[in-house]
Amino acid sequence: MADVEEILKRIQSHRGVEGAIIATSEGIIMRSTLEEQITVQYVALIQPLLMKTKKTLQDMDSEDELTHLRLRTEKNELIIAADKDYFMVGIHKPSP
Amino acid sequence: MANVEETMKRIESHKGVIGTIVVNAEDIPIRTTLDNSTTAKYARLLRNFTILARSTVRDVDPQNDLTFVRIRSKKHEIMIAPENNNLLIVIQSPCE
Repeated sequence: MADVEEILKRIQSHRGVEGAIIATSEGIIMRSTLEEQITVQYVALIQPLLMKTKKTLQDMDSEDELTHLRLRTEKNELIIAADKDYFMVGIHKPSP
Repeated sequence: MANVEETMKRIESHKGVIGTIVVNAEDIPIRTTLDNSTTAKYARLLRNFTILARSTVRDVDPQNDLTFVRIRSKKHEIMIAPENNNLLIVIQSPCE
């Protein structure tokens, strides 16, 4: 568990990082550097999107597997790393 | 229009690019380097995915919007650039 803390700390201290969230594939929040309300909102929205992404990829190529998903938006970038049991969301403001 | 052709050719000839698809607002693929059935399948799947990705972003912040998506899997990288309900899809094999 100490490793997880260190990794989160390292990510959070990276320039431009707004937050990092770790949750299980079912949407149970494990760790977050953001406040609870916004974390719950992100997880509730990203968890179904992640399921959809995995399914889309499976439909395109049944042997393929998702490693991560990057959503670039006007205001920031969401980097979502997917695993069988967990997923991690990093929110950062890309440098101009 | 010449610029568009040049840009598309540049993308299509990039190392590792397996295919490119341009889908218009009516979900009709207007340009593709893949076969028809694969194009139709990918266009449909990725359109549905993009709709969900976009609404995820806007649910978190209604003033925000999706500008780019990268789906990274073990075998491929799928990049989607949405613009005015059109989609530019590029499928690339990641360089080793």
